[in-house]
Amino acid sequence: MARTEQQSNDRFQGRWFWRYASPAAFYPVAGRIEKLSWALAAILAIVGLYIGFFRAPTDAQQGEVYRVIYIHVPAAWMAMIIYLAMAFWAATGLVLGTRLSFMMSHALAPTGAIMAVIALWTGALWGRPTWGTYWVWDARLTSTLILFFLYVGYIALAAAFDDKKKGDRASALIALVGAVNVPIIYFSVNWWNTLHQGSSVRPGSSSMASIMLTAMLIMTFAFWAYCVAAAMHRLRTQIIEREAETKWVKELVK
Amino acid sequence: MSLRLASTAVARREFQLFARRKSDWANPLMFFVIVCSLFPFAVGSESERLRLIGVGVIFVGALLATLLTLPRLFDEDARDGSLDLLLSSNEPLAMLILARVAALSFGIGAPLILAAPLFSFLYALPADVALMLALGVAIAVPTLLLVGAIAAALLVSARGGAILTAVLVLPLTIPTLIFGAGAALKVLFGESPVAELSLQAAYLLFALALSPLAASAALKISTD
Amino acid sequence: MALSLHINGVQLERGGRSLFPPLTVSTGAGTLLYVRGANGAGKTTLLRALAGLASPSAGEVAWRQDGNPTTAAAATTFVGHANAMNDALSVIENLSYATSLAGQIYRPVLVGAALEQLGVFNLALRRVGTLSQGQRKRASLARLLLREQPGARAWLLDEPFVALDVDTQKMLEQLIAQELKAGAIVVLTSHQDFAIDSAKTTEVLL
Repeated sequence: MARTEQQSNDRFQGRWFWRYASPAAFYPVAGRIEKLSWALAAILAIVGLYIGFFRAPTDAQQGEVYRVIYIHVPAAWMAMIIYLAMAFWAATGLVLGTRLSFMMSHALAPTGAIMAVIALWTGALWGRPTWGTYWVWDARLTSTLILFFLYVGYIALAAAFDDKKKGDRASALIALVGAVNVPIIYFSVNWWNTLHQGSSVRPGSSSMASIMLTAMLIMTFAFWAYCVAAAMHRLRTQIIEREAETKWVKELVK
Repeated sequence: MSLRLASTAVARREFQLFARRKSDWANPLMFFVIVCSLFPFAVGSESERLRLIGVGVIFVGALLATLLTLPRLFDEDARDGSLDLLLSSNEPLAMLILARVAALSFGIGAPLILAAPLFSFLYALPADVALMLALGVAIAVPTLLLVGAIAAALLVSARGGAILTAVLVLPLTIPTLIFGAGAALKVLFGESPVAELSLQAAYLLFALALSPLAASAALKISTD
Repeated sequence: MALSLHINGVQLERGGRSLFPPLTVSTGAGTLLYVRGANGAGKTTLLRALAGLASPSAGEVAWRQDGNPTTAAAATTFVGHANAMNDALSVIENLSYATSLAGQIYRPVLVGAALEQLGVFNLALRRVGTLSQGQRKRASLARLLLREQPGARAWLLDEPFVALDVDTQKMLEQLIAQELKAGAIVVLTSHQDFAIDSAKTTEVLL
């Protein structure tokens, strides 16, 4: 099933989707995507935060504190989506043997972990005035914490091998194992949560005014753009680092 | 035919090792016993309090004790070269790993399953909870070994194996922990544990179906 | 019953670097393939690839039995640096494990004969942990003689003469020569000089 990069290359050479499979070809493209995403992230964040913080009304129940959802919810979503994206590139790498896919996974992981941390942090800040405590074993917060552990495991595993290629494949496999288990873990944590305590107020669980929703959507796109930009930046650094021996990199950094 | 031969050989060797080196199963058991004995010193000895934490302590203790045995799966074999025999067999590697995990589950699991009810009495838990705990541990041990086999296989040739194994494996044991301990708690509160028990068993079946394949892929990656 | 080995444009990597330029060699029954090269040239990795334990980054290794493709697992017995024996188990127990995994039925008579040939019959029931390095090596070489019939499997020997005394090395040389006559392929690496009587020797310099 699994090919080496050489075999995949022989098979798919010249096809449209294969054009950017080589790090050398994708490097400039990644640069353009990165610049565009930074700009997009900045504009969207300014607009989203303005609407969220100055235009959207104060929440009837929670007061001003609720405004943390404009950061908390997008971050929690991104933490989840990035894990799936990471697993997707890991699977691609394992099947096709393409080194760029593994680099993509590695580039995404720290951003995903940061998103999980932001979600946890803002959740705690929101929880203090709302629940009266920084941490409640709420199903969504707990799941995000476990997701963070999965990210940490992936990053640590990728770093545990002296042979980069081995680290690539090993961490890709654990990303897949994690992705398969994530739904089960979410389900079981939900089960456990309803078993041990009644459902509590959650960030963003009350019905929202449409202007709040607009702000949240814009912020979600801002986070999305930020994550793409950060991942592309990390990807470019990785490409340079890993391909340091090749001619094109030597000419590039000369 | 030759698959049966090979997997029997794998399991038999595991039992031979258990018979030769008692420490292989006695050490995890000792670890479990000591961990379970430490908690009352930390939380106090009133039976009401002990009863509430007992299920959790025993369950987590059993999981950690099992976790400690994971390096035994492939590390020693990798060092003395006999892992190559397993890898160069014509039989499906996943099945051989399954045979090995099954044997290990008996060797490690049986003492823990016997010890779990014993300790539930020290935590002032009633007899029916003790039995449910034993059953929960009996399902949890093979589940953890199956999931853990993937990490153990990946880390055969990596640095910092033992701790990293824990980091990789423990989050994946949360479902079996929730359902296994949940079943015992249900019994403690006089409710039916059937739902939790079936979900815990379902997760074991799921791990049974996928883990050997993932572990064999992992072993090929790390020894390649 | 003729075994043949086809190494076709094989390249191997360690730590992302190719070890040697693409290697193409074909050998048939009765050939001694002597793999030479400096430390780190990739001799052990090549042997592992021939045994199916490592996968080439390019090219392929093909084993054929009478012209039909077969697996490395069915065609070869690999004896590497490590002895593939668990210290806590006896020589016999270790060999029984090895034969079962190799898909052969464990026959005590055969194992006895193999140990006898290597002069370690009296150690059969001893735990491997109590043996000397040389004794362990000899016991592990017994695995080679547990094939279905002489010449049925290719022998892949990584530094087989290490830790052997002069007499044992002579004996192993003779065993290899006999196996080659019976139609086997023997691939070996060695830093030591050796004298094996073989009809056809191919040298591969990595």
